[in-house]
Amino acid sequence: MNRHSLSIALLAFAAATPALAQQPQWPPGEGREIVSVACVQCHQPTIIMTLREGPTGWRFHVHDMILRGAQIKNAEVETVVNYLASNFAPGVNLPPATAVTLPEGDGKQLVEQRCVACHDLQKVGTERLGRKDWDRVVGHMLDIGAPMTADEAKIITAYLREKLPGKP
Amino acid sequence: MKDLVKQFLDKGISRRELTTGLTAAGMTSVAASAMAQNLAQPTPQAAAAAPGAVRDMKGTGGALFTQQLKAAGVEFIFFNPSTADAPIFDSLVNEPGIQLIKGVQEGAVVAMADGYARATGKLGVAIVANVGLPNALCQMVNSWKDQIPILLAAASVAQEAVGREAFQEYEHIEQMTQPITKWSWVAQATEAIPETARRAIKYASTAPSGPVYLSFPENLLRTEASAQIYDGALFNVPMTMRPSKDDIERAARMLIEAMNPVLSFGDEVTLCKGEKELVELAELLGLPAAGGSGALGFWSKPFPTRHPLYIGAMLRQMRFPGAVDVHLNVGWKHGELYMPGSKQISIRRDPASIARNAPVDLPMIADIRLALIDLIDAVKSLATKERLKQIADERGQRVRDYTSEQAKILQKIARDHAEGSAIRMERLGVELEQWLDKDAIYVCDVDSGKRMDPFMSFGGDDKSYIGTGPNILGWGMAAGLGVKLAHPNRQVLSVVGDGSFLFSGPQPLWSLSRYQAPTTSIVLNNKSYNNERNRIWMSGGTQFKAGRDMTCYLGSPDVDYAMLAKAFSVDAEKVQDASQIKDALARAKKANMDGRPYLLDVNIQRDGIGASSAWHPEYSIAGLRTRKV
Repeated sequence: MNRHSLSIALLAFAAATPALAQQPQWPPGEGREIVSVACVQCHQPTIIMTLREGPTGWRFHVHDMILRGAQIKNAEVETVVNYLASNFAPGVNLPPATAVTLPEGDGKQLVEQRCVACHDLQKVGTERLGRKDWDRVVGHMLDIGAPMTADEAKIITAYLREKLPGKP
Repeated sequence: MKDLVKQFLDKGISRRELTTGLTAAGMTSVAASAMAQNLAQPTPQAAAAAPGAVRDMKGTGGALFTQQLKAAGVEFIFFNPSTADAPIFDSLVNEPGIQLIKGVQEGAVVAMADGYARATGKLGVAIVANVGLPNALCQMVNSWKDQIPILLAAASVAQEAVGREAFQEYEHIEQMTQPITKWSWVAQATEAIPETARRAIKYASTAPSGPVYLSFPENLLRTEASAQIYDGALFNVPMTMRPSKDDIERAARMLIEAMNPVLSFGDEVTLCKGEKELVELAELLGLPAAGGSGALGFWSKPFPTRHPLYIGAMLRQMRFPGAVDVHLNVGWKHGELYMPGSKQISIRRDPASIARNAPVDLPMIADIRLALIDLIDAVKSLATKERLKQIADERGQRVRDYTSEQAKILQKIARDHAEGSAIRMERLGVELEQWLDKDAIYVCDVDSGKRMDPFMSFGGDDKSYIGTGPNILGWGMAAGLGVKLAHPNRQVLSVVGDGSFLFSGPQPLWSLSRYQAPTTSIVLNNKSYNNERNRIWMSGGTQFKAGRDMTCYLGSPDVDYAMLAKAFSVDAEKVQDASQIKDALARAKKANMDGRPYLLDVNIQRDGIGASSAWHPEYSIAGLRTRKV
């Protein structure tokens, strides 16, 4: 799961990009027609299909893309958010993951279960963050739809603080 | 007809009466209007008739150069000195007509000249040290791609020393400039220096404008000679080409009869000062107007961004207005690539790039403003007022319905980010819109920071926007000085990313401080090449999969940009929390009003793919040591 916005390539590249060939198939559902046009003017669809987020996270991406020029009408925003949050939600059709061994400790199992709903565990295992930064990261994941309760988030944060510490 | 013209020139009749009379005498309204327009403009030749326009002069090569610049209207020289170009600066000791503006690195010097040229439409003159020329070239790519008139000059080794490995001589120095200049030349004789300068000015200023390079062997600058100095009007002839009447009438007819037309526009509108006419045409025909991007579509905003006909960025496939049948592209190099399958009309001032990458049904080379004037007149002559009103109302209503809905999204996003302590681009954009004066100039040298733009209003009677097309970063703070110099009575804000700041280094701060340039500079400090990381990670490569940012993290070391500014005697502060923005901006404005530059180091939230991560490859050169030395 990634923070805040796709923040993708500037529209400057839009016209220079030849027509996108061999696009992956978008899943059926209301909003498909909008997404398949509005969201491929500047970048490949692959990146959308790789992300897994809840409605809050996807809404942020959609707003971000509108700021960058994507043509999604006001009345269509929630349709698009629902489409993305349904088809690319935590735990749905996850891409293949790389096996990573995390340090033993309380919370390890929760990290292995919850974090992989959206992304490869490698992204957790390589990180070294200070205490406040781990608080911020886990809090953000919770905000954008990570499948964990507030109590589980506390355990996960404590584990990450202790086992994967960085500069304070 | 001759009598009518004579009466007009003798001020016996008005321009409108002349147009009416010519039309009654059998001319089309377009041709009559064009003739009236031409007759109303003072010609360069008329200006040249002033006494003293050509004068004889004796002096060093340096003095001949600066006097020819002055006669051409040059008021400022941006420079970084070298020993060899001393005769140029000797000549200015008692010359109050040209002000020197010093930069301490050649890139900053060119960026200052570039900012000045963009803000005025005049020639920017930069003189740099021979050995530092490659530094200047980096920033000059911005001028080259955006067609900004810059005269870059350097003193080179004496003619007798060329090829002998002289002090600070290096091979191919002039050739280095050739790929990004319209003209590159080594002066051949002292007495020819004014003529060489005139040629350089002409090449730089004539549309399509752009940078030129002059090299002066140092012996030529020292030597005295006699030569003639010309006033600028005698040789620097403005290109006021108009399109053919037939083409204009055809375009007007296509636009009137179109079922679903669209207007795209680019920076050539700004270069030709045709902003007002662009809006007038859009309103006359109810045209949805889409902004450009990429080449000659990015560095200015010639159409008001809050205008109800402005629909945002042009895309390959526009969901609104949908399938377009006629596409009018005005002054945008990239524009012709859009809307394939529609009838393409393109009005450009650059004959080399029009219809280069895509077919154009109706291409026209012209001064953009004059072409728009002719097109407006042609439209008015081909349809009654009632019909035009009906067309504009019908088309315009559809566009207004769309843009008013889009405005609601912006308001919602702004509301979503109105609270909280994190400083996000959206929040800062809203705050800046409230803080900036109505006639402020916003100088933008950011990549991810462009996301703030929709929260601010530019163009028309509103704020001016000046950026660069190629995004050669490290331009913004220095360019801000050039812009302020051009418009000392307007508020100037320069926004750079932390990446951009580090590209230029702190050198622009030296000039801002030295010349008491009361601009505000904002460093959007997100500790990352944020957009770069996003673009890399969006490809889904190994860095994305492993969560390892191998290239873009800037937070180690965590640079204190406010402290850097203070080292140059520029007042500055760090802004860590959203609640601090308003007060910090107020302090910046107060400092500017008091005549001082100010810098805000804003802790902007990193965003996008991988934003949470602070991981970066740890490596220590100290750790390689086997001895503590």
